[in-house]
Amino acid sequence: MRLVVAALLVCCAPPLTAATILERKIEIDVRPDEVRRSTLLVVELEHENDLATWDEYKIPLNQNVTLVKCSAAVLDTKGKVREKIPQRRNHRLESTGFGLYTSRWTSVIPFPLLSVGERLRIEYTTLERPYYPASAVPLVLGVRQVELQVQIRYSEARLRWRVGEPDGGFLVKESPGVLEVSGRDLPPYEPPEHAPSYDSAIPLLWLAWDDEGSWANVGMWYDGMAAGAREDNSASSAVAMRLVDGLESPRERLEALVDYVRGDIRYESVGIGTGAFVPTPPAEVIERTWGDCKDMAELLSQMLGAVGIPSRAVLLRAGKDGRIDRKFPSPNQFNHMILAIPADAISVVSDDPVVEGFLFVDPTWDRGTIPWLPSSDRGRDVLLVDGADSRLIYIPDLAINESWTLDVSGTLSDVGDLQGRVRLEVRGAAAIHWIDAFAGGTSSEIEQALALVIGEAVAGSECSGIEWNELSRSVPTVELTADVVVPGIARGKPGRRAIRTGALGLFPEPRTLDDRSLPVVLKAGTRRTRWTVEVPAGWCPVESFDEELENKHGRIAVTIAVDADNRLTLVRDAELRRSRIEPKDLEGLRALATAQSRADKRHIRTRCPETKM
Amino acid sequence: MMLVVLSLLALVAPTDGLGKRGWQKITGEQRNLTSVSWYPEATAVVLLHRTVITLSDGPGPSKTDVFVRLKILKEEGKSHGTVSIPSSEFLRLKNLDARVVRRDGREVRLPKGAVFKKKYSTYYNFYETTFPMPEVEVGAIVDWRFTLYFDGALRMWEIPLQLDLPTMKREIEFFKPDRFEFKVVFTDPEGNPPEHSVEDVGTGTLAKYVVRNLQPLPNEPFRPAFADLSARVQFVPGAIAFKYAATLEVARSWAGIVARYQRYDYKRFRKEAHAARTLAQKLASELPTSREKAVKLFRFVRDDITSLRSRSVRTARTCREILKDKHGRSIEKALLLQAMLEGVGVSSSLAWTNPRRLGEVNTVVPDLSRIGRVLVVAELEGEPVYLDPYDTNAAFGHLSPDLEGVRCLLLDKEEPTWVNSPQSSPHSSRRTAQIELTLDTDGRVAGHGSLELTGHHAWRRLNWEETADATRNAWREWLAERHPGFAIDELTVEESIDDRRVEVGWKMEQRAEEVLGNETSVTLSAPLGLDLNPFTLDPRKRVTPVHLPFRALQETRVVVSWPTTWEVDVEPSPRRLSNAAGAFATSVTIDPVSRSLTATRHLEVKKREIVRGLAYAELRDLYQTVVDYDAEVLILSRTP
Repeated sequence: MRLVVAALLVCCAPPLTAATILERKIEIDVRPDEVRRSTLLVVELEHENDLATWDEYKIPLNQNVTLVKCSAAVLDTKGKVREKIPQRRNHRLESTGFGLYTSRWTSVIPFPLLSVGERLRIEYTTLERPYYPASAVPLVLGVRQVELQVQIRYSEARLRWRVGEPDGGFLVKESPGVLEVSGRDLPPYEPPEHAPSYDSAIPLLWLAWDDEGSWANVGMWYDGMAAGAREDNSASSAVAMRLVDGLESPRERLEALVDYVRGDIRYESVGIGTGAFVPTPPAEVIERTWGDCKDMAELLSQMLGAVGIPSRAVLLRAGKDGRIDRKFPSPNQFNHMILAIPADAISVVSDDPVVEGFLFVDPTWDRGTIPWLPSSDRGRDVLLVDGADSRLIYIPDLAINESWTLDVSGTLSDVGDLQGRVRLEVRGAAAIHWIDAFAGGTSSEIEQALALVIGEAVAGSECSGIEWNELSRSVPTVELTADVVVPGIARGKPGRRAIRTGALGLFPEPRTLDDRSLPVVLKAGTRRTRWTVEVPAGWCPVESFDEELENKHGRIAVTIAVDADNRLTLVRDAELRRSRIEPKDLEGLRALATAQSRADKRHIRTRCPETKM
Repeated sequence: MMLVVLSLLALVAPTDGLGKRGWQKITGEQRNLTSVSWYPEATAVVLLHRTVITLSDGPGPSKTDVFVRLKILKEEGKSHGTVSIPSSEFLRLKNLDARVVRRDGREVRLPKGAVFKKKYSTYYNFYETTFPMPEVEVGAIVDWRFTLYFDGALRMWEIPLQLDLPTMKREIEFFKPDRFEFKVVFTDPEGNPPEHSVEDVGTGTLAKYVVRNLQPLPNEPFRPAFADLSARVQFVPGAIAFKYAATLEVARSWAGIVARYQRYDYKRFRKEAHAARTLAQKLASELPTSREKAVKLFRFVRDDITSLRSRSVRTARTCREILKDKHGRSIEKALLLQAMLEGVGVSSSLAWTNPRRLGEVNTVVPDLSRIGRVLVVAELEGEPVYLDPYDTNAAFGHLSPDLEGVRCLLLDKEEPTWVNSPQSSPHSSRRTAQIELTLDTDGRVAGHGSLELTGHHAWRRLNWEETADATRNAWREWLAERHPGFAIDELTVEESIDDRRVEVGWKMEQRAEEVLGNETSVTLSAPLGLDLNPFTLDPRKRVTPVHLPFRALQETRVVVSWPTTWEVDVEPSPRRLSNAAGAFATSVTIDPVSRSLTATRHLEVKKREIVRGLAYAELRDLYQTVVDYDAEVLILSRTP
């Protein structure tokens, strides 16, 4: 639960799948205090699988979005109404958002048994009173759309709008008080491997009717929402003072307070009504010992304030792909909150995640120390909430904090079997996922999982005596060790042998980068694989080679060395520096991916010099 | 397994085992516990899980009282301080209460407003009630209790005893009024007997079961269904006695249940079968033999009547309605097919069964919740032919792997009869790959391949994707993953449900940027090779048996040829292993004249169900031998 999806708005409906939408018509009437949104869908069921996918249709609602009217019908293959489904037959699903509980709910239209060739007609209107005057319409869905029409009327309001990337070739017409966006024969969104998340991969029509669109306004809006929770700091101050008792330096105080929030406050997300945006008062969080990201961040902020360390709230989009649309200020784009502390308020060290003079801290992760900011908070723009000075800051990826190191050491027998030890060290978010996955698991479950991890890197290996430990480091780290046997790792004839070595992969297969228009989203990080192998006496010399490729996206390097004792050392390093690579930059990534693929195929070879008679 | 039939005596109502009298006292042993000797990995441990089922004989509902006491042992265990309880409109949750007792003995009650209820299924009205307990710390004890009220006491109760946490004490109490007859069945695959007692308490009988030190079931690959692995206790309703009427049998025996269904649901369905019989005669009129007629009718019901998902063997519909609506559940399609077969003079019986992944049917315990599919067993040329018209990928006379070798109850015999469905041989489920590759003088490899799937292998891939294009793309992806560095082109896919066959053909060429120039390697096991042995665990540590999906055969033949300027550097060493689990054999033959190499790889999995110990060790050895071979490659290099 540490990859937090906690607080703010969700702008997009989930992607529909299968079938074809013959007609999708959305009319949005923006009024000063409310938004009326009418949706019409005509869906053709083309395949038997569509019948299960469309046996119900879900309309997301919450306390501020109510269903005004709704009707649906099944049309037979001749277009005649076979059955009407009035609104009173809709079901209600509670808490359909993320987390432990939210006040979001879903009205479900239950369709009767359907047949291929039939059509569904769904028509509904919602009334929205958004907490922030903004909205969004996904223009591409997981299903083909033959005709799309979106019309926004905003006669009494000033409308900001933007059709986001990628360009879908939509027709946009704007006349006084009316905006129309339309498209025909829109293909379904079918994400390729390593695609961005749905709502940053499809074009969205962003809408806002605030007075002026600026990130400062968004920051001030959040400050306003959080003001109530910040009023009483007596409980948090008391706890903070107790925790820092005897600690003089701001750094020590920061560490003590972060440790408290991470260790004593359990992450649980509950968003009811404005609770989706407004943090729980810190006194309550202290008492119940659980909260979501904004609860934990606000609590930490208040405690820091009590001991003289200033801090700012930071909004971001957490997860694998945290891209926001910089050109369209709106809180709809965020789902997570962390803290920023002015670097000059504490004594920062070189490894600290400091950007533009701020140290960033995510209190929702219960492992790691201050220098470690998880990768799910990096490689993205974040909004520093600082009143009228609120602004976006880009926190770059840091590959070295998300690293895997595999050491295989052993001795080759005369018949080419390797016997030795293997050690794998994993740092960063992956280490925490391991710890979570193995917590409480049986030893046999853990042993099997670890054997598979080693087996992926060292093909044909058999492991025994597998052990794993969490190491005490600033970055969360786990270590795995085992005895390993790899039969037939060296093959061939005397004078001419090949030694097969595996390695930890990092880059995607080159084929996944072909014919691609979407960005590639990966995990920035490093991989080091080191083989140290005692080669039997009498074997011919190892052919050494060094290879290296480096560009702005990363690096891959292979070196082979043999010492006087015939001990072979192969080191393969790989580094991916950015988690998101835009289509225009794919060639650089492809070069690295190809170099990795070629290195995978290359063997270590022993060759005796030809003897001339 | 142990069976206890409760006697029907006693006058006084049972005491409420978990009433509103406060919390059970925490013992010194519970307070001081810091780890579990028999499960050292535990992050939290259930000290006591007590379930008390009280069936009502009056106007009020029956109920289940649950009390759980949990201890947090490690930081990672604190997440167990958030508790979720499923409920429904049938099982109504009431009287929820909870507390945390911290290390210092201070009690923290569940605050108001901290209980959250989600409705997550509209069809069955399922709810999930969640409460995050406050002030949970390592060493804290978390207690919670609740009551689930329900109507209709005469239902089957199956209570798995193993939880997802180690459990020191699991107590089940079951009270039934005198006039209800219940059979109690305790099952522990490990054979451990429970502590148990049966006593008369007032107006009924109270059965108590206590099991101690239960480990969670490990999640091992290819383990049998949880329902079959877990220790469990079942309370099976047998009958209810009335004061002024005869005793009504509920589920005393499978025969009794079958008779009831035959008498009501199925009789009503068959009553309107005339149209189905007439249609059958029309469809099959041109066909000379009973088998051909049966095939025709089977395909009609399989393909023209849409299958609706449902495990129930009940139906309120009729044969005529199914034909009109053109969709039906498993029982309805089976009944329709049976009626149509009858129309052309083929006799048959319905067969109740359950897919293997959902658990075995117990022939002794009449438990309808363990029936999930209805087959038709037709008599053709004196032989039983098993038909599953629900499965749109099943050919005539063939079952999916999950329905092979499972217990079936034939309903339409004079007496309901148990039989085992047939199992196909390894040779009928075959994957055969043939690859021909040529290395050119520049070191680039290209060629073509074919893959033929039969039997269960084909069944798995039939109708893989919605459209032919999507299926081709899926195969292209499948092949590209197994031939890394190659571009896959000119892909053809042909498939036939009734022949149980899928054929794939393709051309392949090494991508230019992947060519090393002076060295190349070819994986001779691709595309059927195994990267990883799923059975890495030491045989002494494997806890659960292995259930492989089906017995099968793989054959690979790869031919590689090269120009005069290249030579073989290293070729894989041959392997041969045969044991009770299966057989693996490879061969590599080099023809220096034609400069070609032919590699064959044969893998046969002979056993589907493997118990622990030696049999598991043999399976592990088999797969390790396969993985060892598959890791090796053919290396060709340019001649010096």
